[in-house]
Amino acid sequence: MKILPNSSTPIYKQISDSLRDDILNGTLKEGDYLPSIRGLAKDLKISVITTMKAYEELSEQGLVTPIQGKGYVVNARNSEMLREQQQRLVEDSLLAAISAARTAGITSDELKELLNTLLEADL
Amino acid sequence: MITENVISAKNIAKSYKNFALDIPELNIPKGFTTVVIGKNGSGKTTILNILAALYSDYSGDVTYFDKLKMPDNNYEIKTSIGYQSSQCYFASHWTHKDISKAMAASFDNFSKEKFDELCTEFELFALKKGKNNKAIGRINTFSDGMKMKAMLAAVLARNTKLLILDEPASPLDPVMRDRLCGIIGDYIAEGNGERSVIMSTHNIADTEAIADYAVIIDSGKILEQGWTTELSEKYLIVTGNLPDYEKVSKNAVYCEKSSVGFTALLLSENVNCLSGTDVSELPVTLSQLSVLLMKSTENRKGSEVNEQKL
Repeated sequence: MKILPNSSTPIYKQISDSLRDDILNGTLKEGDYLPSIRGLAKDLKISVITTMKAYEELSEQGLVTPIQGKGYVVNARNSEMLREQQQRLVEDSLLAAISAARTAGITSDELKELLNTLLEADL
Repeated sequence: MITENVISAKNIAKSYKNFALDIPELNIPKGFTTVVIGKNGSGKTTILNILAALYSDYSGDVTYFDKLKMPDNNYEIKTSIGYQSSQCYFASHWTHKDISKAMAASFDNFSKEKFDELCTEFELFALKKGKNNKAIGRINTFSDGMKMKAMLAAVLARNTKLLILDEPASPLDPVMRDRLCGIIGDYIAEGNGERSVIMSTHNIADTEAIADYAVIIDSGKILEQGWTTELSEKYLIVTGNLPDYEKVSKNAVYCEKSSVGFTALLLSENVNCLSGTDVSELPVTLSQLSVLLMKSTENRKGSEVNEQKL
């Protein structure tokens, strides 16, 4: 796990993002337990409360479920979650394309046209 | 968030000639690291000594581990707490063996083996693994940092439920300060929610990363307390140019003006007052928050004095 202490992204967010990626790409599988809250806090030399906040966020998003006395277990991946993850990939790629287009001086309309052409060619 | 408390204190009051401690309520969460932050002379040591059950001449009610009280449960409370003071409490002529003997005589849960291990790890008494009784040196030859390490080794060699550490980081070198954060993390992790740490500091930057709950005190009173994650959302820091100073400063908890601009501490709920201004908002760190809150009370005291003069 990569944690940047001076990043503008809060540390709890960095942890939850990193674990979310692990869950969505299958590194952490259904039924796996997340590292213990205090164990992870110790390893990262961060506060327990920060780790807890990260885990609570993942739990609210339905990715993990807290089990009394045992920790947080990874839930089954449902289709909605997968779709959401794919949508994020699409958005990232499109943002990269927009950024490249701006650099090259391609207008928004030209870009839309290009996308339409590509979509039609794909059919 | 629902948590249990390792210590709950109510209506704590103790006064000295020029100083009065007045704490209506203080709850230390179980399973976490709590930092008590304050200037020199703000009452940190007094609070810690009361929590460590070292004083009896104060008024108020303190409950330990959910049910225990002084003086009835003296033994159970004292053996469950590992206390390190800011001044070395070992006699100056003591050797490694003296400390080991005294600790073993005082506490059932003291492990000589663990103490030796920690002395080796902390490079004290020139102890080396596997060699017995080769310790050299007396406490009076130790630097302040070494004395602190000796106290930490003695405290950590006991199987306790709560550590109360008074300014542990101050005399330590930067590497040992970093190691201290790891040691506290280990202690908490091994306790699996049953072990807690309370430590005081006037320089929170050293241990900010591992602080779960913060209690900021000044002149014997609590200025602010809460989970560090919540405090960092409750306040924000704003920097701006002089034209916005008037507008922001009247809504700020504390505002500092320079010749070119200003920095203000704001409650996040007052963020609306920034509309129409050209300022930058920054999240607040615990060290910034504590320093600015302490300065805000200095200002208030200053203006009270001025008013009295008028």
